[in-house]
Amino acid sequence: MSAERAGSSAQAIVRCAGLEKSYGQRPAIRNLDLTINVGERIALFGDNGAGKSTLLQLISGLLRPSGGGIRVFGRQPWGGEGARARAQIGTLSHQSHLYEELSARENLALYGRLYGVPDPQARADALIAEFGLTGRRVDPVRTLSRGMTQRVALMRALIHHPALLLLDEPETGLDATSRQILANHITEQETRVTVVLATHNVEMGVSLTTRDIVLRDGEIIHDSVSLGEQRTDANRRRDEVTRLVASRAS
Amino acid sequence: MSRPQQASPPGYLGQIRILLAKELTVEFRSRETAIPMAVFAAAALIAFQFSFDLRGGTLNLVAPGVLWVAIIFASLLALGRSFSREVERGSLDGLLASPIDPGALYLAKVSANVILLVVLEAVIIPLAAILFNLQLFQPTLLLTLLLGNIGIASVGTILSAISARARAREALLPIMLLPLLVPVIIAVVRATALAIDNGPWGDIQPWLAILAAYDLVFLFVSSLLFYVTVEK
Amino acid sequence: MSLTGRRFTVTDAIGIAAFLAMLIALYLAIVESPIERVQGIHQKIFYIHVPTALVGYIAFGVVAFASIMYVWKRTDRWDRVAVASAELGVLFTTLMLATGSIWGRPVWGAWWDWTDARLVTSLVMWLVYVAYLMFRSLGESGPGTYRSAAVIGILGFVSVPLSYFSIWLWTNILHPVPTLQSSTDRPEGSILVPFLFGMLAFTLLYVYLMSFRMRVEESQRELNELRAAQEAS
Repeated sequence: MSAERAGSSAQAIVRCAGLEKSYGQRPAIRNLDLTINVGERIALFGDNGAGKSTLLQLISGLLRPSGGGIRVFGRQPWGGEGARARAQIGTLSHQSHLYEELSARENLALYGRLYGVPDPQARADALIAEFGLTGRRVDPVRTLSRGMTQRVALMRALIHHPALLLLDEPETGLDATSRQILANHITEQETRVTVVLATHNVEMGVSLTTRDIVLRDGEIIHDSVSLGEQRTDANRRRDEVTRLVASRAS
Repeated sequence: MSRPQQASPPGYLGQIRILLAKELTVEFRSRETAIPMAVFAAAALIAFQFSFDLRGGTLNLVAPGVLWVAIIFASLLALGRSFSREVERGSLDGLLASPIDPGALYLAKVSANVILLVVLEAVIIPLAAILFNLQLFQPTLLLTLLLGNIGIASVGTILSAISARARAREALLPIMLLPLLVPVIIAVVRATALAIDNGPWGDIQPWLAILAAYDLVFLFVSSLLFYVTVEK
Repeated sequence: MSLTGRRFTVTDAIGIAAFLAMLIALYLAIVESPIERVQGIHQKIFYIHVPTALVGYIAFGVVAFASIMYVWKRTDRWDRVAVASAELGVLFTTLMLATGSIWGRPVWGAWWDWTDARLVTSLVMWLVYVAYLMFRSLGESGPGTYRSAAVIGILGFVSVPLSYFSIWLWTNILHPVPTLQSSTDRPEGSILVPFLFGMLAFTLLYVYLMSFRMRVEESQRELNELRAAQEAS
């Protein structure tokens, strides 16, 4: 689990080995091994409480593991030591992480500064224009609709051109146009952004990604890479994932 | 990885500056804290007037205590919100997932709370001077106020983070804060009394030294320990 | 002490030793030690007052040490040490404040004296750790509460010397120290021996209660875990 080992194979962005996380007495992630390589686009499926959000938060450095090891960009992601790793991660979660008293522009500029974006104001304006929110950019986030807030939250995740994008159910509240913009950002070939996308929407998950992982009770019960079927067609992937997620009562 | 622009996150001091600017902007927009604090402290001063009858001979003995009790109780309004608002809106997680050092977040919050206390005092010190006919405009008093504010904010801010997620946080914060603030309370009240009485510098000095020591110790220990309180 | 048929443990041995030391300490304090000239019979409460005070300080020191270790190692055991020692520290400090008051009534003529810096500091310290225990009792049992409690435990200990120094300065400037306290003679052999036995007895009692309390805490947490597991299934 040393930083050297993770760094030695330049391909691996995330390495989890025997990863454990429990909240008090309740385990959320159990003995999980996972390697994510540069440029991979992963869909994370599973029921509510299967551990999708917990896994994303562990990778983003928001949670400290209860056991096992995790390295993101070769570093421990949480705490003061994790700042260098977190600088390259963009996160979208159930919460918008926005200050409702501030405008979309101010929120984005704040995070742009924290991530060290060269011209945060200009970058914020560019994203706001791309997501079609220019007319509302100076209104406090409090006054925006739920869908608009979700769009700003998504811009917040993208503000610093992250190398690793962690999206927790991004489809919630997003309109068709924004979904298309998100899809463009994810599948952009020249930036080769690595994506982990947790979703209940199997259709969308499969269409945007190249690898499926299904979680149940904090464990990986299916990983399409380990099964060596990275290039199977979308229909087979969709049926497989749907069957696994549905087979809850086993 | 080819990325359009190379981002370089700010260092520790840069983080403090950005986060402090954020605190002040949010407060300026919402005015949820500074104004209620000042109004509360003014109301407390009037309540004290009727409780202690602050006139004549005992005024200089009682006034410093009255002033500081009002300030410390009013500070609970700022400290109580400092982290609970961040937890409620979920913005704390956004900050913690960004490339900042938790210690920088702590120091930015301390600075914001010190500024709120300065704003509060800018209102109630002149008010107290007028209402009670006190000679409050002494240079040593300014120093006492500043050191006292840092003391209150240094401990209050970390306790604010600790109590933000707890049940009964409104009760927990003062219960934990007041015993820890005993050295500050003693020192600021004595130093203020001496400043009002135009006491010699040599008498005031030990109290300011205690305050300075308290501020340094708690700023140092708390900024090191702060990450423990926000970890999940 | 194998009443329930279980094996005789080190804890039991310490418990018996504490009991015997307590008997000897009481005998020495009540019967053997001389009656002090200035304060008379009232001075004898010091054979309880001083050991409870010292053991109280030690207990809070253990809280701080265990808290640091918990922050560092994150093992459940250090948190159990901290909570057990905090409870005992509050218990012994309560005894110390009570005996101090009982002593003060005849000697000072009042139950409480704000000019005794040590007594006042102890009251403040007692409040700090009562707040610590209150925080623990209001939070749900789990690592989040343990971490925050550890921070309070460390901050509380750091505040004690600052409190003592400011209270000492406050009493010295506002209320000159009464000569009564400093006039007591240096402990002669006949005073020192019962005092040392009292110290030994209360230290053994602390160690005994610690191991007992920690076992209870461990069982409590095991029980919580089992309950959680049962609820989950």
